[in-house]
Amino acid sequence: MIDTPKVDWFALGPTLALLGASGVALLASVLVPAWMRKGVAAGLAFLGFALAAILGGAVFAETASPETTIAGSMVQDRLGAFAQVVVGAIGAIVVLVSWAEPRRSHRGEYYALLAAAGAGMVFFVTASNLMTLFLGLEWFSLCLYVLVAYDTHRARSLEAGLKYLIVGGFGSAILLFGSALVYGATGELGFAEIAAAGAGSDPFLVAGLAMVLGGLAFKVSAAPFHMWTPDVYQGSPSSVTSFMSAATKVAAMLVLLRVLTTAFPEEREIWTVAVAVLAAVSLVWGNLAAFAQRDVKRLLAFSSVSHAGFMLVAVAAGTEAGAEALLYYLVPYAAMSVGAFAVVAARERELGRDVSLEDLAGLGWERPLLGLSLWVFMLGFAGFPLTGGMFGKLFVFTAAYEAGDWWLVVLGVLATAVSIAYYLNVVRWLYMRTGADLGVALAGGSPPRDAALEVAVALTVLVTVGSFFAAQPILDAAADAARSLPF
Amino acid sequence: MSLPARVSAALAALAFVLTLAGWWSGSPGIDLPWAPSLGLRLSFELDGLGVLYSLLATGIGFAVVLYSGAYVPLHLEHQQRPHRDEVRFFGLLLLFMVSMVGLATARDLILLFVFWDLTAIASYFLIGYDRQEAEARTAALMALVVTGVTAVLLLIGTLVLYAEYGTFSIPELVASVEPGGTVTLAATLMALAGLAKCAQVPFHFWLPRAMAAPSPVSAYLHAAAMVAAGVFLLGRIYPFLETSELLLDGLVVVGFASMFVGGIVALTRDRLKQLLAYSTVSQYGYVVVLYGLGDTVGVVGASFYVIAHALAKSALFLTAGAVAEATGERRLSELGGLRRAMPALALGSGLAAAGLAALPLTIGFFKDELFFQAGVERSPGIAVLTILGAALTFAYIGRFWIGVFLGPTRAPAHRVSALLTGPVVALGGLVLVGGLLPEPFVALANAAAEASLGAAASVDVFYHLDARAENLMALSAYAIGAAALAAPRVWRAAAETCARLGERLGPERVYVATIRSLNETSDRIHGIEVRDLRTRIAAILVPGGLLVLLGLLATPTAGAYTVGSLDRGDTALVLVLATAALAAIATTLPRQHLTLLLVAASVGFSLAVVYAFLGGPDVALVAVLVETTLTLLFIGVFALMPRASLRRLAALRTPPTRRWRDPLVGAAAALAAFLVVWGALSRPSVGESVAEEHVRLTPDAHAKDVVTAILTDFRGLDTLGEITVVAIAFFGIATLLRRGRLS
Amino acid sequence: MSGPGVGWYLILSAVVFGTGALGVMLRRSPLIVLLSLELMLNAANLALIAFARQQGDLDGQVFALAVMAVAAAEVAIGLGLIVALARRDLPLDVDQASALKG
Repeated sequence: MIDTPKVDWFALGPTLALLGASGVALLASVLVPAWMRKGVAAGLAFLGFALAAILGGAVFAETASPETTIAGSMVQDRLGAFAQVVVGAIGAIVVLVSWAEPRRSHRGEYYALLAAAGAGMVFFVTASNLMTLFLGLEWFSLCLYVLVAYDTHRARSLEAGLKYLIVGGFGSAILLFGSALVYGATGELGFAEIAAAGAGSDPFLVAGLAMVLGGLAFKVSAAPFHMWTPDVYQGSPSSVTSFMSAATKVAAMLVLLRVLTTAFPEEREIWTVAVAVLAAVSLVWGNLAAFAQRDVKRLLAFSSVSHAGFMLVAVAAGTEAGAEALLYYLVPYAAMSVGAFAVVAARERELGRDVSLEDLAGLGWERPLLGLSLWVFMLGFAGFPLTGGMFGKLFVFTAAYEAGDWWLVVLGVLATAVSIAYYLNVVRWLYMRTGADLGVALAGGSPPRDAALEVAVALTVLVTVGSFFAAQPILDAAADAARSLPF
Repeated sequence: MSLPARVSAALAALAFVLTLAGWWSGSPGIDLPWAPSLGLRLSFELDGLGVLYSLLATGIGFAVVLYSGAYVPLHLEHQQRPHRDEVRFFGLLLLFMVSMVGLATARDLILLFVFWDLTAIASYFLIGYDRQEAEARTAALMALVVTGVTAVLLLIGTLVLYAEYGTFSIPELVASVEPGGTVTLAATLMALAGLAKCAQVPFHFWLPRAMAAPSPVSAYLHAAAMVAAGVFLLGRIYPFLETSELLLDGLVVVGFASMFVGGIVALTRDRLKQLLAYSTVSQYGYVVVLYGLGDTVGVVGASFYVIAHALAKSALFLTAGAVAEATGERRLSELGGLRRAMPALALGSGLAAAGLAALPLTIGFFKDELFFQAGVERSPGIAVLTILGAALTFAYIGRFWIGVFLGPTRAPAHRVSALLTGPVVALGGLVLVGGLLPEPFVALANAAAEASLGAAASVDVFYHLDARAENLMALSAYAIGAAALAAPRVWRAAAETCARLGERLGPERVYVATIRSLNETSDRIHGIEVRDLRTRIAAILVPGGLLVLLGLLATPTAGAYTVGSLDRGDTALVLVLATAALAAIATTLPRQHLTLLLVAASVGFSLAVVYAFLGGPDVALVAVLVETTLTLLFIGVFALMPRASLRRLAALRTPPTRRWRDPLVGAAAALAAFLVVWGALSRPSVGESVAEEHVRLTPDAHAKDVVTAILTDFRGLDTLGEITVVAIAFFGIATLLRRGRLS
Repeated sequence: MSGPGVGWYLILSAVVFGTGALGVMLRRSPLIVLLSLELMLNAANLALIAFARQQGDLDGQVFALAVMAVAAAEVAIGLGLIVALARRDLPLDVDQASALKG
């Protein structure tokens, strides 16, 4: 008689909610009459994400200390629950952003895929062995490959999908080979067991660690593993970009943190240096590359690379304070990122083409809400006050300084200095010129207001600004979540 | 006056009165928790320094709002902009005022930083208020970049102190700092932020540009808000500054440099507002010198100087605006003799100019008296420099007032609203009142200095009718200044050379060059980024390979590199291994898709055989199944694809430039992987015996079915994940291959 | 255990992985790039199974099974994308795919 593992349905709740939503939405997009397919599917996806966030919150509240469940393949802890809440909230907002995407066929399947990608992410963040890690990664990546290429009538979308698949597949292969090497060195797949195996500085383990780190670096788009990011962010439908830029980053960053701290505590000296190097390269390359971009989505893509750099600075600290800083940073970052791409999506729909900086001219006057919001997001990205971005930077720098990485602080300050120039350039375009000055007219007059998108943008602004004024609750949650990691 | 102007004026006046009331009632404060786990508090207190700058912000603000009530509608009319833009102007002005008051009263370094940046943001929009003008846009951006970037230094200084002392609260920090490297570092960073904000050399270039703002904004910015915030910060962090003599001496150097650079350039400027802007650089140089000289006299002098300068400078900027509205001219060379057409304005700004020039009976006389006194206390050399600085001020401000109001009338002036002259006269009047009755102003300065010094300060000023050093110094300054005014030919060429040299070599060039080189670097990076996909993957693989190699080199690989021996019984397996290896290598050769597919499939099938040898028959079976399915899938796709495009693809050759590089990169990666394995072989082989043990135990563990059992039972969750992935893949493909109806 | 030491398998695995990586970088046809990706994943599988054998534990085999299915799914999606691109008569050459250059 073989013992069957106990299945913890509660811990699986968020994943199942989204998976269920995805399945039902898929059914609905085939069975329901055509006119209400989109509504039903979108509603289901929204509910799924909201439910995942709520269940994640419940797990957070109920789980005082981490427990591994289901034969050690997943862990139920506050870190994972924190990520589930954030990913769930991002997904729900992205459903709103996607609502008015001009698309005449297969509108239901889009939401099913979105929910499936979300399910993959909330599964991924609870991974506690290398197999679950790889499966979770592939789970949401496959959904994203399809979502990126979803607008099959746009050559750029298909091209971006193919590029993402090839580069992403390459990253997965590296991650997998690294996992194999780690397995070879320790004979274990579970993170805690790998750490306990105490393989010391076995060359397999070190090489495997490097490859696992590299594979995850693809997903968080840390330079030099970011090469797909600008093309894919630019080519995907903007609503998908907003989801990817926020949710993938949150999930992959937290899993990176989890793997490094739980599976490789003995190798801390090695990985803190490697992560610090990745952080430095991301900060330098991301900011420099963003500086002269004209296409707004590309600019935001490089800005996302540079923010990966800031987050990795926190990881490189290798301390609980660093983990807390990272967790806090992710909240306003996710909100700003979703919001910024949502504004770009709105402009894209108005103009019917890719949005360059020139195309933003006058948005601040024509669409006060969107203009003001983009303004808030840019200041937040640059770390100006009244946005959580400021505290994010402060915490990250503090963690790095206390960990003795003063050179990363210096680099971060220089990167911030450069970034201020290009973020402000966006604001300058928003407000300093009216569209009429440049002869940029709205395509097809003024399209109807997109209420869902405006609600979504307003929510993200609320989080961006709210995380500044109500920093304490987020900090508390971040501290609780960080405590579930072995420091 | 329009409604927004009225409301703003009422609010400014109310705030002014409340601040005064607060001062009299004795430093009220608010203290609420914000983020307790960090010790972050919403903590405000109206201490001496807070009172001083709040009074300036609201008082000067009140005058500026009144003036704007008449100025802004005219301004908008000139630019043919709608009247509702007025609302935005006053809104931003109020935001500016609030952030200034917040800054002045913040008791917490984080709060300080928050309001610091808010003043920068508010000024950004006000400087760029004339958004249709390229000059205004550039100026606004430059102001925000320079002050925003240096503000980060303030934040870093804050975190350095926090990391050392565990608190953001200014009083607590003041109580606990001890002289040392940490505090000096923090204070230096913060002082740099302050110096950039009050436009000291070498950060001064943004301020003259910012004169592109509407005149009332300039008046407010220079006298009471943005720029004044810079010296306010120096006053606030003075307890940290004074821990290091070197830092204070540095302030003296920067202050004098700004004083002379600003003064000399001001002598050469033709545009009124530019002249005044450079004069601000020079004037805040005085304040920085005073803080640098330190001691009670220096710190009280600095605070007093700020008051005197604020009253005079705001009046002068408002004058410039009123003159421009009345005549349409903005250049000194095109103005003159306006005393006849605008006597009230001439009087008001005359008083203000006299105040800056430090003539007796104005508040300015005392500002210079304290300045001379601090200089004399330090050293004779410094004293001489102070006289030269004061003489420069006398000269350029004299040049301004004489040029505009005396001499022949050059441009006719039409009548302007009383609201444009009234505030100037009122401010000029205050300059006079301060000269006749300095006690309240000195009391305010003493209170502010008390907040900086942490000890009671009681400096008194009187007119002394004797031959003391300060009086003699003042007289010599007037004499030199007057001589310079009388004989411009003597110095003009030299001053203009200096100014031109500054333009050619100055920090603005550095700023522009930095931005340009950043742009060029960025373009170059963009060029790298948009090369083909494979270049990017190569760019990933090289660092990846390097990482692995570094990891390998960093680990001790003791022992011999042995691969183990082979015996005759292994022949079959070795053959299979060799086949797989050869097949793998063969995949690099063919160009035809089908051939290649078959070769690749043979790798897969050989590997399946290897799996079987390795004791995984079930895995081998699955591998065969998957490999077959995939091969069929590929063949199906080949059949689906247009023949022509397949042929085109097959004919593609590697461009000659990359023919060597890419294989090299690939070979390096393969070598790295090989080395890893090779290195690994040297480690003690622990596994073999375990494997034998496992083989022995297999029958007990239901060997035939154990993988299946694990798949369904132990690893049920992973299998669920796997199934989901596969399901999603099919559904994804179905979505991708739909017939697009939208085009 | 009889047969060659685990080292031989690992060398083969490294060779296959390197070949796959080479293929991704050298070949311009996306179809071949996908095949090469598949080779890389196969190499990882071989390493997993060899290690499972060495460690005397079955987790590696199970992992390899999961990887096979997932790899197949990934390649299948890639093929779907390629067919979608071919249908729209878009350039399939990886080097030519350059609409996205900002």
